[in-house]
Amino acid sequence: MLAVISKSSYAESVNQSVFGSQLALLTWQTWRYVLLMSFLGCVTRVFIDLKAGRFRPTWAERVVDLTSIFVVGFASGFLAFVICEFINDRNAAPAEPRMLSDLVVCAAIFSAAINREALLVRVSDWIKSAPIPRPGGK
Amino acid sequence: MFNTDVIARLALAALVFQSPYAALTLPRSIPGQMRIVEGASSYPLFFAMAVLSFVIVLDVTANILCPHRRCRLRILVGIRENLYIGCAFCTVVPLFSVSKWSVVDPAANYLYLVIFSIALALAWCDATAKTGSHRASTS
Repeated sequence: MLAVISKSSYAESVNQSVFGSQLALLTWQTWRYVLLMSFLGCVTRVFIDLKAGRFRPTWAERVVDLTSIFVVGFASGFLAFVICEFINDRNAAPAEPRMLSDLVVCAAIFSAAINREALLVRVSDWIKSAPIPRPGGK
Repeated sequence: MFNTDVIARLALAALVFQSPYAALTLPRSIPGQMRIVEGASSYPLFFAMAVLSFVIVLDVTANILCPHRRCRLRILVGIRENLYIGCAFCTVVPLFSVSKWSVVDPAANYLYLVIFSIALALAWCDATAKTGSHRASTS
């Protein structure tokens, strides 16, 4: 309870907000650690690909590979953080302990930033499974 | 025998061990504040940091400092860069946790970002050493 009160007063004192609910109480200093954790996941992905020799040979192709790793990694890390905080907001009253601890939230951000293929496969499956509108049909 | 590589690895182990030590002994430090607020859910993190620092020291002792081939631990050479990635991960978690409800002290922030950078740099050295493009001391 004390943590929630101090968290609210701190966020009000710096007058920064990003989203609704508890996410609104988070400030830039929290978001920069989310970015740092996503960066760590992206760099780990680079190490994995480097060891496996997955980078393509020319410099232009390597730049494309690196850019895709970092763009998808940062986006998925950001999404993982928002989803985890959303779950914490929805499943616990302010005075109760949260459902996901900060260690679990960080692990989710890190693994989401690493797991590029799994995320892309899920998105492509979701796009493929979407019903295709037929002209003149239902 | 004591080259800069060994000293950097041992320094990282000492800096990583500082976090669980501070969590237990310094309640106003960043790890101490996390332990107080998060409670039992933060204990696996500090336990992992203590284990990581111990394993780094073991790796340096067995694979670099020990002159005999029979004391080599090949498995630690294989997972070496993962150890450093783990150190970098564990370093960011207390900052992330405390930043949600309090202002992070800039000096502590600087210290933990330095530990994060050293861990990433050592992981980079080991990852490039294993690809063969750059030969670092893996023996």
